[in-house]
Amino acid sequence: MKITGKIFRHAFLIIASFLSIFPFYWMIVSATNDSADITMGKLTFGTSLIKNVTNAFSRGNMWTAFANSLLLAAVVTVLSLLICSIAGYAFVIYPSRGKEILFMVLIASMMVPFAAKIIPMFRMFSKMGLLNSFWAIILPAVGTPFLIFFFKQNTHSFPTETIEAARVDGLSEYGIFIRIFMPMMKSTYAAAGIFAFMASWNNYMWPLIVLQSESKMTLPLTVSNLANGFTPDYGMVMVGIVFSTLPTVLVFFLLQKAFVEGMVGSVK
Amino acid sequence: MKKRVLAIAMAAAMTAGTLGSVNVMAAEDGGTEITVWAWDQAFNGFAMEEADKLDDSVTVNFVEMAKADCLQKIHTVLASGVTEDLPDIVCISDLNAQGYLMAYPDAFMPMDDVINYDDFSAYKKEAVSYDGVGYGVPFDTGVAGLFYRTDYMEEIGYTAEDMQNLTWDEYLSLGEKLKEKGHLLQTYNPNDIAEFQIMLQSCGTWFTDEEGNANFVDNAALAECYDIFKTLNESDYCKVVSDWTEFAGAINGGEVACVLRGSWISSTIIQGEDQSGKWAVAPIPTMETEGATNRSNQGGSSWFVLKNGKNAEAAAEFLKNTFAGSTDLYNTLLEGANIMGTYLPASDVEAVNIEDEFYGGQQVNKDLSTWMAEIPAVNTGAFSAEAQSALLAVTPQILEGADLTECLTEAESQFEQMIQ
Repeated sequence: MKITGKIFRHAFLIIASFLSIFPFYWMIVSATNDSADITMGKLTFGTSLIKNVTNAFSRGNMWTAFANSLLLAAVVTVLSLLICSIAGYAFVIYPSRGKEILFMVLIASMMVPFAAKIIPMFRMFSKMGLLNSFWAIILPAVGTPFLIFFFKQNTHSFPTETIEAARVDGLSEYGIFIRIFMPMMKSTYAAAGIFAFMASWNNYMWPLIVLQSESKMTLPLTVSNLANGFTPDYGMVMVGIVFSTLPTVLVFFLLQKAFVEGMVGSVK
Repeated sequence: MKKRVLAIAMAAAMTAGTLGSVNVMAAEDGGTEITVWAWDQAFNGFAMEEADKLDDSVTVNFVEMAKADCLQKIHTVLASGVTEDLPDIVCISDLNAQGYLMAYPDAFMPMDDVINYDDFSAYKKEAVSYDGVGYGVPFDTGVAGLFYRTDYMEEIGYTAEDMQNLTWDEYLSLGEKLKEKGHLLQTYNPNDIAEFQIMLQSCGTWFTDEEGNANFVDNAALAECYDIFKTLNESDYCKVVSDWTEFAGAINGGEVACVLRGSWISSTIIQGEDQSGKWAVAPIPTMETEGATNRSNQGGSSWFVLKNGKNAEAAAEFLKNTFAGSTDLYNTLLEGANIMGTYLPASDVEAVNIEDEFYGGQQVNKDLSTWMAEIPAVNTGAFSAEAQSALLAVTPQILEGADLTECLTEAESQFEQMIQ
């Protein structure tokens, strides 16, 4: 019985890992093949990698787009971590009338689909004169209900006695936040950092709407351009996709340990 | 500490500088800059680039985006009423054009006084007009053809001449013969009724009528489409596919002998370099419905000037001088990127007569452009996509043998709900 259970468990895990790994395998293999080979379902490595790379990089402004995406992701990650953690911290630590209602409103705003907000947001940023600028992408991304919620939940597990002790010792409120809260919540920051980075890196719809000039395009937009046309060159597209996937993989592996800790919500 | 504050301040200043920097566009050859939104650099981009060379009064700033993205973006910008960031020219696919013209009647510049619509194929004028007013400048055609493998046809004893004026019955009868030789007739996707577009237009009819209402139940051509679709479904001589990749794979892999599509499919076919010289193109099969022809269309798009764009007037003038006035442009486009327009005066330019080696020396462009001029004009209305999805919902029942009239009636009521 025990052995059958084991077999089933392993079979399930093997199938699950195959399902998760196969798309990545296919993506990488396809990046080395010709478009015609890909459409015919070739699943082994080919010899067209260099040709595909040359095509992809000569056609789109890949490096500009990469730099734009990186800049945006970095700014958005830093700002949103700062702003959302301050908000989450304040929701828990400071007594305030009506903060529960405010928090409910905030959470409820997560339910409004983005598509419903596009047109009013577009008008708003047009009035502010920020269309076709990176600020139009950064500003809506720095205060997200999800991250505030995430920080608030994790702050609950933060020992308030520490704060009281620090106050007695004469540390200012800013000092407490920066010197005590931030270092102790490192893993929460790491987990939130991955979320913020990925959300910004993969942000598609809004940049598509507000960005106009070629020199401001982000990587997802540039890769999407590669894929369209009457004769899509799938090999070239796959190179673009690999190129745009690598940073998220890298960030995830770098912060993996902290990410898991942050998800569990431990404070050591 | 001070140092650190300074470093942070500097970093912040640098970031703000980068973020706020104004994008200076290059205006190489001077003239008014006009912004164009479209998809496909190698196709629309190439066309705009060549057109730009012919007109010194403007510089084209081509902004490329995926087709769905382009259409989405135009929707958002027009719906918001913001005019500051409008492009001057947008590319809109013909099947989507009516929807935009209906939803944003004042956004596009009427072109009747600017260009001569008689210079374009009649079906194309219909596609870019709304309420009797012409708005777009017709561009490329999706003239339909029956692309077939000459070597497979030879095996069953069919010559190019035999392929010229096939009826659908004759065409389908090739299936069995090909099957005996180990080939398949064509691909078949039970969830894709794109071929219906070709078949309906060849009879001068459409999914919807002039008023935009569903034209399903009393549409003899549609009934025949389903007859043919059922035959394909029950046959054993079709390659069943479920997406584009499999479809293109069946063509490039030599599994199927025929492909019925708009002329743009040629760019996929010629990717199978080893099949050079083994393809040819014939007119599409004729249906039995009254008024049926063997000319039709699938796809194509046109240029539209946005009235509130910064340089709308200059953009209209530019289109008039190029896409609606230059046969040289179409010659270059045909020669350089195999782009076939719908501008009739260009139907005898030099490049039309090229004998295409891939198609065994056939003058493919000449044939296609002759057929293009004869495509029946239909009003495709604003709701082609909705009509097709309503039909697709009842298609499985029809294939299983349910009563056609009942199913189509059901689809009509679904369609009415969708467009309300």
